[in-house]
Amino acid sequence: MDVSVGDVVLPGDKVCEISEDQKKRVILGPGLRLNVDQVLISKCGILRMKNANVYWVDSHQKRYIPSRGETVVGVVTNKSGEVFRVDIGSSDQASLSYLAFEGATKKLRPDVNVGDIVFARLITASRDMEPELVCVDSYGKAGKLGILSPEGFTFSCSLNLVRKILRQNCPLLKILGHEIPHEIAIGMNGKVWVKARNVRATIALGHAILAAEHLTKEEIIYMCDDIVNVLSRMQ
Amino acid sequence: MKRSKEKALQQKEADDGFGFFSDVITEEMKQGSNKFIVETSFVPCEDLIVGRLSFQGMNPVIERIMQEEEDAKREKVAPKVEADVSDNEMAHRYSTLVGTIGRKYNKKRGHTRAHIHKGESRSSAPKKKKLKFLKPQED
Repeated sequence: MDVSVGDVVLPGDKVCEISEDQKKRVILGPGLRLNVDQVLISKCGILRMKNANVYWVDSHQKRYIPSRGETVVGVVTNKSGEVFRVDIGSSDQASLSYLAFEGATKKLRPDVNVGDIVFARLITASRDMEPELVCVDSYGKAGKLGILSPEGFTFSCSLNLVRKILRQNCPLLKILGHEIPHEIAIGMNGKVWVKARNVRATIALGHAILAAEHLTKEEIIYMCDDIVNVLSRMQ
Repeated sequence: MKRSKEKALQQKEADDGFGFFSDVITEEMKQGSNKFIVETSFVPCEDLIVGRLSFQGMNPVIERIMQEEEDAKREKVAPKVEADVSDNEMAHRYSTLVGTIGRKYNKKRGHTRAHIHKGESRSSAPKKKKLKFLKPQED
C-alpha cells in the first residue's frame, strides 16, 4: 500500500512520494528501507518528515538496536583483560576498551569495576559485530561521558519515551531541573540514571519521567507541578 | 596472436572476478542511484539533545559544559554586532582627518603645489623681500 507522511504505516508499505522525487537527496531514518530505488517501511508507527528531505518512522520500541554515534547508559558486567563488557540492552553486550577513558594509559588504568554504570558513546555499531563504546570524544576529552556515581538510581523505559523527553521542545526536564536539584543521564537505549539530593526526590523524578510516556506537553506541565507540590509537602 | 591471447585472458579474469563478487554485488549496486542517505539513528532526525544534564549545582562539570553549549548556540543565532567604535563616531573622526590623510596620497609635486595654492589664496601673508647686500659701516 502506498503511504504518505503522517500516516500510520506497517512493514512492507511503499512510500512513493520519496522515491518519485528525483531531484533532492533524501535521508532515510530508522524504519525505512531501500530496495532498488523503492522506499519500503520496515517498522510499525507513524511516518514523519523534517526539512522536506528527512524521513523516519516514529515507532514504539523497547528493544535497543545500537546505532553509531548514540549515547547510551550501560552496566559493566565483566572485566577481562583489555576490555570491559557493558550491558546496553542490545542483543549483544558492548565492549569498552580501558584506554577509551580520559587520561587513561597502559600503566594508568581507569578505576572501573563490575556493576558500575557508564555513560558512553557508540563508536561502532554493525549488524554483524559487537558494538563498541568509548568514554572520550575525538579530542580525548571526557566531556559529558564517563562513569556515573554509584549513588544514583538506574531504571529502564521505552525507547520512544527517551526520544520524547530528549526533544528540544519537551518541557519535562526543564521544569524538573528548575524545581528539584538533580543530575541525570538518559541513554538512547532506554536506560535512565538519576541522582538527586535524597531518596524521595530521586523516586519523584523516576515517577515523573515514567509518567510522561503518554502525556501531552500541557499534561506534562500539570503532572510536574503535582509531583513538585507533593514533594514539598513531604519535606 | 599474442595480443588476442592477452585480451582473452583479461576477459576471463574479469568474468572470474565478477563471478567471485556476484554474491556481494547486489541489484541495488548495479541499478540504484545514490540519492538516498541511510541514517540508522533517531538523534539527527529528531534533533535530540545529549541526555546528560545537571541542575542546580549537582554536577558543576556538566553544568559548565551545558552553559558553554548554550552560549555557543546563542552566539550562532545572534552574531556579535556591537563594535568597539560606533559607525557615527568613526565618521566624525574621519571627517576631521580628511586633510591630514589626504596629504598622504599627494605626490611631492602636488604637495608643494597645494601649498602654493594655499599661499596665494591667503593674500594678507607678507611677501618675502629680496635680500640685498648690506654694506658694512666704516665707522
